[in-house]
Amino acid sequence: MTMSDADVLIIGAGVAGSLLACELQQAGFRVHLLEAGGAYNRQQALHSYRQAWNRNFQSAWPDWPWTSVPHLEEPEHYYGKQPLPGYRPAFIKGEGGTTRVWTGMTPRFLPEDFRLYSHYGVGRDWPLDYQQLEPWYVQAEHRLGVAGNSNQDQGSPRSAPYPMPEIPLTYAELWMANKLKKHGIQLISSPAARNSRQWQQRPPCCGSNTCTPVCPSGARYDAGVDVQRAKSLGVRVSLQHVVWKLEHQDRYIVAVHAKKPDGVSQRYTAKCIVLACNSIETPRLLLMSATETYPRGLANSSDQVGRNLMDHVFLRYRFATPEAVWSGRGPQAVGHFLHGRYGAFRRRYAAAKLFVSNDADVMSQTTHMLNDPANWYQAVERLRHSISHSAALGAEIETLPTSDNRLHLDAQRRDPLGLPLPRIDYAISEYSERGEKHWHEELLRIIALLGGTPLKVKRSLSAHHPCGTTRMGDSPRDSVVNADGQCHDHPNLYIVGGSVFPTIGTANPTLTIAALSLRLAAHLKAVLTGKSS
Amino acid sequence: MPCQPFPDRLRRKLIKTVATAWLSIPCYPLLYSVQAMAATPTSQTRRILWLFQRLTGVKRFNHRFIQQLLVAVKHEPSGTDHLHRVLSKLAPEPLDNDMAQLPIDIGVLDDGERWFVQHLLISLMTGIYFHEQRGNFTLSYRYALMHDALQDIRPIPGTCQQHFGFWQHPPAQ
Repeated sequence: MTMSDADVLIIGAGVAGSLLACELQQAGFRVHLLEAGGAYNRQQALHSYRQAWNRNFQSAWPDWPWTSVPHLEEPEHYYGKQPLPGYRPAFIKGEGGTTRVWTGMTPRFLPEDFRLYSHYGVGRDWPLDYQQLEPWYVQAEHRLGVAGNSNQDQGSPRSAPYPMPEIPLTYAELWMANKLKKHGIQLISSPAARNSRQWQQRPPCCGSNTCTPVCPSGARYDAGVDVQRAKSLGVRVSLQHVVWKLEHQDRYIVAVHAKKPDGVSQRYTAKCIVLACNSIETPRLLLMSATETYPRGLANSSDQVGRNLMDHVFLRYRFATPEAVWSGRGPQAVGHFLHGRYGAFRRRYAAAKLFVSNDADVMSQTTHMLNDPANWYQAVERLRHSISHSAALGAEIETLPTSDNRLHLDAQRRDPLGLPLPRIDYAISEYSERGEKHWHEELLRIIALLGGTPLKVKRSLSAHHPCGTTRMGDSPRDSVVNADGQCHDHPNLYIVGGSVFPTIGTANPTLTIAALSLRLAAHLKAVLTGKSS
Repeated sequence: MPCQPFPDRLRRKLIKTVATAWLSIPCYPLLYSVQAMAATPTSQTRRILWLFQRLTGVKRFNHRFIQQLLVAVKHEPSGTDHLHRVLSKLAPEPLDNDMAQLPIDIGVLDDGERWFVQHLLISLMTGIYFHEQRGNFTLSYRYALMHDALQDIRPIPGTCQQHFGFWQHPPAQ
């Protein structure tokens, strides 16, 4: 049965899809937003988080039994077995998508990030440059509500101030900044989609320190805000719709097929289709939509769909401090270091965003401490000392696009609706390994300058920032979409999200995803009104 | 020597004790304190509270949290046996309140009892009961000592009780 038809059908109600839906509906187009997951309730999430024994970033939010996501605890259910350490980025589905669980950090990309190959001879250039995206960064910062220091040069020139003043550094960060200043190391407040004053009916941050997985007050932006706004604007929002196939006629996508939890499939039509389901599910859907005409999947004449998967290598060092610094008060992340993101070194090794983690990780500290019976007596006082006299620094390290880092469809494993699950091949390049080694040493150097003692290091191949699997480029031979997000192979099929990034830089990807979404909205408005092709 | 299954007679006694404690919940103030132990329902509960105070240095515990912890212990295959053994070694009657501030001598415990004390402490501190067979579950979030006993230096995560920017300053000491 064919249902409705809209001007634009958007698949995925995360930040990219919901922003786009609002923009287009407001411009007078009929928009239909399809989402695999269900509705969320923040209070229920907070309750679930408190009740969970394993309080990770997914524990607050419900599982939808009809669709799969990768779980931090058991990622092999979704990704299958991988050689260790494995690359297993987690995400959630439902209204607002993974912004429900993000920390809210919103640095912009640097101008050099768009021209990595031209500047440093590595990676690849984007088909658009920083100046072209800058006005959309400004809009995205207003839409998400970003707090930042407008007078601070962070390497990304601005045409307008941040909508809100910066989030103040924590006491621990002020202590670090003061000690490191004489060594030429600068620690600044990161721009963040977290209110520093009342903004769009949301309160200022009250420092609950559970940004991930749930901000109890709504001070931190999540795209649930824009899904609600989309509904109020008249966007048709269909939750619990798992899109499993795109139907084409010649080069055009004429319909999408979505299964409901009972397994019944419905067909939806629209003039334009936009995929906004992140860097894992977007290529998965394109590959699942293979036909005799397109045996490698849709939009895949370049054979780049699913390839060039990138993320940030994640390092975090917990260290003992020589005096009480009281970490764990306030937001989970506030400050980052100015150095690390740019410089001529990028010819030789990967750049990194170095940051302070303000998650005191109290659960882990508690259980670790109690492993030693010597700590049982006066356990609370010992924990108090341990928390107040420790801090954590981290690094998110750039990776380069390589075609071998890719997502396939698994021939055997299926999700609850019988759809093939993804399988991933992933390894980091020597370029990133050199970067990791360098930034590891740099974290230790900073800890030493602070008079600290390293306690524990955590390393992961994923900072849960998957990008690159349907990259943009000028040539249909080696890219999936053009600079507007339009598929080279299918004129009415668009993609938005981190999957279109040709390179990943060192910035957290969400603000750039939002900027690209708003830019795509402007493009589609022109296309749908006949002002552009 | 590892802990052995507890005799039925004593198990029944503990169940009765816990049931009595549960039924009496509305009759007692929300927080137990060692000073108020005379008002508590059983000698065993008094001994547990005394031991917890001795181990953690905390003087007041949430009544409901402690009761939930005891119920969970009761459901362990050898939980009551472990509890009895540990109390008989670390909190023997008569309780001496002068000892409450002194370190405990864990040398008197065997491996199984030591494991059990660690298990109790982790439950008390994290509010989470780790149980291999039943699965792990939360006893209390708010009253876990890692939150409740440290709220003077760190607001309980997930609660909004502070003004914007309080984190720039150290906690009032």
